[in-house]
Amino acid sequence: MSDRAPELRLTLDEEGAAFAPGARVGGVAAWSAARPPRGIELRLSWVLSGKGGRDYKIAETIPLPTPAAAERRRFKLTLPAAPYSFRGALLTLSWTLELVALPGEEKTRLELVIAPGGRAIAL
Amino acid sequence: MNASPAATALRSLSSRKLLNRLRAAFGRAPVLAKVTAPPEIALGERLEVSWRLDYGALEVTNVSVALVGSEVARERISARTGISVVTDTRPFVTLAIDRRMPAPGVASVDGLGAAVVPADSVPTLSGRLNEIAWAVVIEAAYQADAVWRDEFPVVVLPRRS
Repeated sequence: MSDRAPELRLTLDEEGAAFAPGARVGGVAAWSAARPPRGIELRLSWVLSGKGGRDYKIAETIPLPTPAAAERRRFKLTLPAAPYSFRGALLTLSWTLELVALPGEEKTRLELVIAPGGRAIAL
Repeated sequence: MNASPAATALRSLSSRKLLNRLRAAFGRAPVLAKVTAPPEIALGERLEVSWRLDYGALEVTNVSVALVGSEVARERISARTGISVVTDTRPFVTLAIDRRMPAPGVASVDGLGAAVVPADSVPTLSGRLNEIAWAVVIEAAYQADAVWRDEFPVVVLPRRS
């Protein structure tokens, strides 16, 4: 059996990927591998980027326990109250939802906007 | 719904002990500012501020107090002589709280004021390199030239639900 990298797909129930803080978000995580991954998890994280570098934080990790080799699994998560997505002259904050296969850390990702009204704030 | 914490004396961002000691060594009174306000405020809420500036013999014609939100980006630069950190700061909002024009010969001035933190702005955020910072800023000027400035950080929280 080959050890090809797992194929990963992440889709949200909602059209688009812009949400208010605290919103409930649902979707489907799907993967297909030659053998069951050791683990599958969702990671919600933000990056605060400036010209000198980036600050990165995982806001939430959601393990999807006992994954089969190929599976589609529904998920629901509650988005945090902050920080908000924004764009400034020096800094930009963006959110990402990743589906990650372990132990190889193969991943697929969706960019999210989390801000009041579902619109990134322009500073 | 949570209320803002009670007003308290805010801490200055800068340490002026050395500067004030130098002024004292030359027989000049230290410049001292006091800002009293809630240390935390949520977006969309009103920040009430009382303040006082004792400036001794410093010549001052106007004093402004404002709530300022800033983007702060730090860059570490390595050189043979070591690592230095270059900081870029850009205010993205400045909200006037109070403004006074003290009479000549007066050594202190105080006041009260308020500003509403814009609901469509961003809360305080501190990263290792980058930061969204909010502060009450007091600036004293002699005519058009700023002669003294200090910042008193406040924490701006997300909108209360």
